[in-house]
Amino acid sequence: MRVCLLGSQLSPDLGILKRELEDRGHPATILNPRKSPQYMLAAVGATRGRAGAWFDHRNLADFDCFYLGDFEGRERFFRGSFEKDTWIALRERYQTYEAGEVDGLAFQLSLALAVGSTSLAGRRARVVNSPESLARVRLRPYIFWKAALAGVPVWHFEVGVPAESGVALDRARVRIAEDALHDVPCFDRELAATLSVVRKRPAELWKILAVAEGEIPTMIRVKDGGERAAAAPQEARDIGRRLLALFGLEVAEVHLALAGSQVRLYDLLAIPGIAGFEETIGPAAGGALAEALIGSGEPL
Amino acid sequence: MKNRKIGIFGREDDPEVELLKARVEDLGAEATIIDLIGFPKVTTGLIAGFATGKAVAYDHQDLAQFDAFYLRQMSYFSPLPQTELSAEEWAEQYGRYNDYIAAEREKASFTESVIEILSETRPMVNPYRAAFYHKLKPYQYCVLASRGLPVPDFRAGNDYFELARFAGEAPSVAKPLVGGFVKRCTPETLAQDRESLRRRPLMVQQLIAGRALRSFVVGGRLVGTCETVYADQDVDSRHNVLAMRAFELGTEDARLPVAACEALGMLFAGVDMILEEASKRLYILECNPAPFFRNFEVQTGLALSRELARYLVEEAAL
Repeated sequence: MRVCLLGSQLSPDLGILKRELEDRGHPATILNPRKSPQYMLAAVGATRGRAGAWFDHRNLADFDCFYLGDFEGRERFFRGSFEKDTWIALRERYQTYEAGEVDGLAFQLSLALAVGSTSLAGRRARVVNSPESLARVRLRPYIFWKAALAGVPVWHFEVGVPAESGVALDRARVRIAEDALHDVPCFDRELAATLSVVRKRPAELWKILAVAEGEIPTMIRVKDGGERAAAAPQEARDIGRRLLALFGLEVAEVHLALAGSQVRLYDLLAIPGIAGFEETIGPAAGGALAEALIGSGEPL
Repeated sequence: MKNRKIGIFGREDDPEVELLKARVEDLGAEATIIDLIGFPKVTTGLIAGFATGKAVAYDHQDLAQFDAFYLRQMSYFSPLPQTELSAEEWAEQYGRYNDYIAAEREKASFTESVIEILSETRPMVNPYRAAFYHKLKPYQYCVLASRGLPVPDFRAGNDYFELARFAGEAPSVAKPLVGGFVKRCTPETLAQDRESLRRRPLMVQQLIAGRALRSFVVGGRLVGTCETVYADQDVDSRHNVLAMRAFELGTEDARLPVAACEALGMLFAGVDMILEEASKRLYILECNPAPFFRNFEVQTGLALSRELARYLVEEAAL
């Protein structure tokens, strides 16, 4: 089978996945949706009811499976450092860019949704993870709330602006997304008055790579500022699997905090950091993900 | 019907919201407008209560106590705020812009979370997912086409050569992907706009000449169809409107808007269609999950807001 990895060619995660797929006889191609519309040509369309999608002169109907390694990415607008006069002069250009940005994003999402949810050239490709699930899992309060409602223990959090309390607090964005690409590099980022997910920092954290169609017996244990590989307890693996089912995901990076003897959900990342896992637990991570993508597909 | 609480997410000064509130209250239910515009500067919000999963509060109201919701307006889904800053406001953001966009995004994420959470526990018209898809026109067309529903041929993207080839084959219109005006499109007009395709992808759609219709579907039922009559037909449906009048669809055609809403998971929608003059064939142009209905109702006499209110109150009673 042919696999399309959507994301940056420079991503170590996608590099590992490509290698693992191709070692198993399945050609993998990395296409970077972030390069459109500025650089790469792309189109989606329908003629007499038949849908089609193309990216950088490739017919996306030629792929059997897609892996979304990037979502809502965009090319950076602000680069380098500038004085106030330059900033003032940039306003008009930025507003033009910003107006186009929402259409660019709508197109990117339409493309990803179209390849996964409609028939291209008479067949439907598999998309891991589905864009619908990715879109929902961006919202941290929603993730925690839904998990709790389903009976998954959740590490206590609040959405607010943290007060000085002397307790070691961890602040996370309310929405999971890339911040770096939206920043103006020469400006500070204080976020003192910005709404955040606020929670106590756990003394011990487990990072599990959950795969719906497989089992990864090793996890990353984070304690005392260090990370090391450890056997993943059954309880942690079960929570991982429950979360995948709950949110319609096929793969995810699950962070669990240890509260006494109880394990609680701390975070859920629908685009796992494969390279981080490989560094600590070895090639099992990328291999398991590749196997999950291949499923029952035959090598070419 | 008494004592049902309906929450309407929308602006206090939105005429559609005002009308719907009045209609819900005509039925003896209680309607509350939940205007998120003041959050978090003026109003407070909270998501908590994991043990029960019930505490979602906004502006001192426990939203979990509501029986059903209408979602008139959802925040932008782009990572970038779509607020145009004046020259003065822009200048003030020097050195502070990172915090500004982060705050805007986090605000939107919070309110999106509230709506997504409520969508899963109470009837929400329309559910988050359906409202979200409204902004994805090319995807909407792909879904409808894959269900065998008639949509005009189209191309969307930034591929100038493919768009120009398509526009050269038959009369076409160009549509922005998210919002804006529709205009005629030829290879020549595309050539003029070619540079902008590197900033902003475009949708080019086969032009269908015919009668412009909007059907309103509520809870899987067609409640009325309006025809918009133009003084001098422009390709953008908002220009040169002469009148709106009720229109009766044939039995077969009446199934199309209902099927389109079902395909997109929309519980309430204004389905824009065009009845091609030559072939008498009906094409679906777009399903709007939070359509304007007040003007259509005023001009045609169709009981659109009443039907929507009735549906909300009935769903709230389940």
